[in-house]
Amino acid sequence: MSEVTATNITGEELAVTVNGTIWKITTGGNRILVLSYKIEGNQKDSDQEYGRNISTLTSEGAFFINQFIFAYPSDFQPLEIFIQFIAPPKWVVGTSFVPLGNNLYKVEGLPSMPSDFLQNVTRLGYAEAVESERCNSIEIVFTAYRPSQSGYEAFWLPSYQNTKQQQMHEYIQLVCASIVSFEEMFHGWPGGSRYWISTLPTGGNEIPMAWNRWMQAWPRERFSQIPHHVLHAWIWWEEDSLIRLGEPEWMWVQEGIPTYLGHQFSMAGSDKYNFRGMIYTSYLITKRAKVYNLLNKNTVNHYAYNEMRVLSLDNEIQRVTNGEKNIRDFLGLLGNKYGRPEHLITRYEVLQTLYELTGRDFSHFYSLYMTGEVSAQLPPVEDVIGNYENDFFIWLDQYISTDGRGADAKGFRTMFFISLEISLQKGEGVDSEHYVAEGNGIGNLDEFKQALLNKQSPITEEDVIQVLSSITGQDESDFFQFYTIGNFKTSVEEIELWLDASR
Amino acid sequence: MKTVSKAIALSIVAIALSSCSAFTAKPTQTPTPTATSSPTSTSTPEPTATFTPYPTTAPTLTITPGIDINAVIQTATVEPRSNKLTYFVEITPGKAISVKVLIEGISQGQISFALQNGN
Repeated sequence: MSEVTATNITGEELAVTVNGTIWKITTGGNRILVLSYKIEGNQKDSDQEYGRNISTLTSEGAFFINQFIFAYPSDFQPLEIFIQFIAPPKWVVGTSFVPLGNNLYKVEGLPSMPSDFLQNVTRLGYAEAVESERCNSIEIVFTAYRPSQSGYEAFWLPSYQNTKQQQMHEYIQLVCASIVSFEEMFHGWPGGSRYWISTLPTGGNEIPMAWNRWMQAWPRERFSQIPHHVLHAWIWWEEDSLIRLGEPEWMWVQEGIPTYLGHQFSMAGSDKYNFRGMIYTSYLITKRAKVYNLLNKNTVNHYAYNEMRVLSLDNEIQRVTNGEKNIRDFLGLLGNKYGRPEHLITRYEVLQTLYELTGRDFSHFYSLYMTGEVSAQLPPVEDVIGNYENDFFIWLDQYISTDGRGADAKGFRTMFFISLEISLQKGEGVDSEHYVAEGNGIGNLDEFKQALLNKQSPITEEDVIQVLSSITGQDESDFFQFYTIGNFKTSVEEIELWLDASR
Repeated sequence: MKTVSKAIALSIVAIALSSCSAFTAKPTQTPTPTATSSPTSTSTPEPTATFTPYPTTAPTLTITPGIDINAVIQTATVEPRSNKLTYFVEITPGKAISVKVLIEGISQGQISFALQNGN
């Protein structure tokens, strides 16, 4: 940051005083002023897990969270904001702001000017492709930038056997279908007339800003993230969000609902996207965490665990209403009755909504399974989780059939469970917000493989249990039994076949 | 509308003014029935979002480096009781981002601006 100056319209300099991060300008009675400043190079607040404050600038392009670049008034609200980008001619501007031509954009200011403007994201650079489609009154634009040298930006793989443009089209369709579905539930869309999707130059990390405006491009294996993050347009922790729960158990609303409804989501008329099976993965993770006494707030996988909470609540609503109401009805009513910006919904309001919806008092159920960051009881899902078994294996077989994130287990179901088991104890498991089934994929099998390759072939179940136990630090003697699901049983024979490729 | 500027007859000003005239224009919003979906129902039709492919090569932009921001700023106009910010963001690849904020419609004796990275 340098060269901060203020002038009037004729270029006469005005006094600027710096007070912390605030610049005070003495206007001298001028109604029109010009504030100038310069930001150099790359900047990132590395303390932020998701890089909420980041700007990158290279010879290839620029990417920034707007609040890192744009100074904003502290003591008045602008009625209108326009942005004029001046950049190399072939750089494509990526933004959800409304284009007026000549790289000039207008900020719609929805739901509020500061959130729309500052929490939004901008990218400029060389684009490989741009797809734009209309979704009712919303224009959805997907900009695929030329991948940066260091960053992971692969939203498309040759193994998809389609073109990048076709993949972008599918992506936009899923975004549109998600918006339409949840807009119907909440009776309105909290965004504006334009929604933007972009590849990221920042290593693939999600940047949780302005979900009503923008989404990063996920690869196909993570398409369940699309409805999940579209739902965050309504359910998020920013003050502008429609729904925020202000209780210790806030995560069942914050992430449990988007995870559950994201997995329940399907595109009508299409069986191509089936995420329902991932609900079963969350069940396995949560049930296994219980075995290892990991169900506490610092070690539980909040996504998986809270998805189980929401599944149990949905099931209970359906049970007491004989299937006439479900979790979507609850959310629609909750948003209608209590959802508004700057309001933290209370437990009382949740219970009132449930009572109005079902005619039943949910306070006992809620106190047993929903209160606190982690309740003493596992959410009661045993009666319904079996409904997701078939979908789980459909999902799993797809997951391990590509060269994408399931590649290390390609063709071997058992290897997925081995990876899941390791992830529960190391890295991406219960101590992370994401997990192997939806996080960074299967990539922790190397140590397991090397240890077994050092054993005499053919390996035995005891060999597997011994190696697995040494990696996870747990007694894994029930591994093969625990991961027996329906007619499928994890097997040492499958592991032996998987190892053959490395012998 | 009161013009508070020195008129500078540069072609770039004409571009800027034509842009300004579009400031009040609303984006075209043509409701077209498109995607529908439901997690619980299969009775709704498949999404039929309109598909308008762009050329895969980057379009040539009209405004390029060389725009005279000062000239644009000096043609600033302001409606009574309105207030408006226009950010001119000039990016020099690999080096720096220069920002000029044209602030119109100010009535206070002092105004404050803050930047997230205010160091």
